[in-house]
Amino acid sequence: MIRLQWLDYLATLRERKTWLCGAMLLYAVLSIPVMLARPPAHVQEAIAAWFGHGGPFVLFMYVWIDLAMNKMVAFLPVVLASGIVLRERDVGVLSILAAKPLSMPRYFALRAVSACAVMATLHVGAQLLGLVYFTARVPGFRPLAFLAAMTPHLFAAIFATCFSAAIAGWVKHRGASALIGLAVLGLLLGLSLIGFYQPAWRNLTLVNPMSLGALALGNLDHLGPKDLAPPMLALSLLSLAAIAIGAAGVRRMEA
Amino acid sequence: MTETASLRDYFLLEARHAPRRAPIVAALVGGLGVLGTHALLVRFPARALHFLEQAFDLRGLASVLLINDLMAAYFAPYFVGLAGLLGAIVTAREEGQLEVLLAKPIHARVLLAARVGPILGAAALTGAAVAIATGLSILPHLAPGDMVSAAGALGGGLFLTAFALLLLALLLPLLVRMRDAFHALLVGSLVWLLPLMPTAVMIYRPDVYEGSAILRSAITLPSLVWHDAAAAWVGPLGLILVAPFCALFVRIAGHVLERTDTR
Repeated sequence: MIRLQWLDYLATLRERKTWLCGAMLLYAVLSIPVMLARPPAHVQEAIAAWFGHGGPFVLFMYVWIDLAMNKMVAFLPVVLASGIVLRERDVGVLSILAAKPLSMPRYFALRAVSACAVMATLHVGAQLLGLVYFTARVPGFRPLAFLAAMTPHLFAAIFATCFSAAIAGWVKHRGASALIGLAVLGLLLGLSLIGFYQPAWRNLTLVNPMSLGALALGNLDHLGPKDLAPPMLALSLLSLAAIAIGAAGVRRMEA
Repeated sequence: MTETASLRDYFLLEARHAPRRAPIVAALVGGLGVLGTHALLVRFPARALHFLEQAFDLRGLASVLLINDLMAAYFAPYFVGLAGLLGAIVTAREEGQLEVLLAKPIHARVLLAARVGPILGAAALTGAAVAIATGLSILPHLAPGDMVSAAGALGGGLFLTAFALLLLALLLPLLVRMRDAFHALLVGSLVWLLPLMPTAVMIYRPDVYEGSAILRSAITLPSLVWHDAAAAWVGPLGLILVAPFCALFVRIAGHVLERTDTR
């Protein structure tokens, strides 16, 4: 099973769409410092007001999460995961797979974990590349705070992938699954930072998994395990629940 | 005569099988999204609304609401159309249906026109429904001296619907050569995102547009809000004018499909 998982991960990693996802992330890494070369005064004032403290690093982290990584998480998980098992069924491979000693829910879980691993590889790759590039290009860049702040975001990206897979498990139509995934993830990500804009809603927005991925933005100066562990744990549990729900959805799928 | 009649029957048959549920649901969700955004934004602190005014060079609550609404009028028709096109062309090839269909005595360009026409039409109706919702929902927020109007909001929504259709039509020659629906979805998403980049630049690097007001008006989204009176008539006109462009690109894509290995 572990061998099969590894081979499936490698096969997904080699797909053309994965390479295009990587190219999009590379473009994001290269373009953000250019975007932040001369921020206008009203943007700096707004960032200072929303996050309680200003400075170039806070502005950089806001733009990196809101403009680059959140947009990527709105699209890439859907592309990676909203067709799993459905594609095999539609191209007629599922009947062959059904004859193997591997139940449909287990096969779904295997494919979903592969998609999550590819999403995690892309996400971590972008942060590591950014770590090197931003250190040289972004004034006031703090590598450790950057990595710490992006760790919950990685868990949010993995949850988004599991969520897209779960939609596929229940909707059972590739086009509808992708559309629902795009609309719901777009909505969740669009609302993910709303607690910073309207502090009265801060606690309410914690029900949004995507808000958990961006929580670190509010406390960049003193990030520690107490700030990072709870959202990561919550997102891990939600991811497992999403895979379990998706696996239950494919239980009765006909080849 | 017989051939014309059978072709008409074929076009009707394809239209009958075109996806219907997704455009209806997308129109409803788009309309509800517009209302939901209004309900949220009016409860934002004045400071956050002022930031949006400064970032997009706007004046008044109605214009801030409208700039967000326009995104729904761009998103809904584009992705409903894209999902339909992927199902009709790329998925059909993946599943081996296209090869079987093209083995029938029917030209690739006719098959493409029959399948794509209803999908683009449904996407146009979805966008028009969201644009109407935008125009109507902005009415309670209008104040004397506002830079926007209900007609301008409707026109802006229709313009973005026309733009979404144009992008879909431009994508067609590429889609007929693709073999992986999710690779095509990613390419389509990229094509949707690219025109929004000049607007993002406007927020964080307004200096890029210093001294080039015409360029700023030509390539950024808030232009539809700044030129409200023009948007009121450019939008409907754009929706009419995009139809021949779509027909042209369906034809080009048909020629590409005829020269492509459908396996």
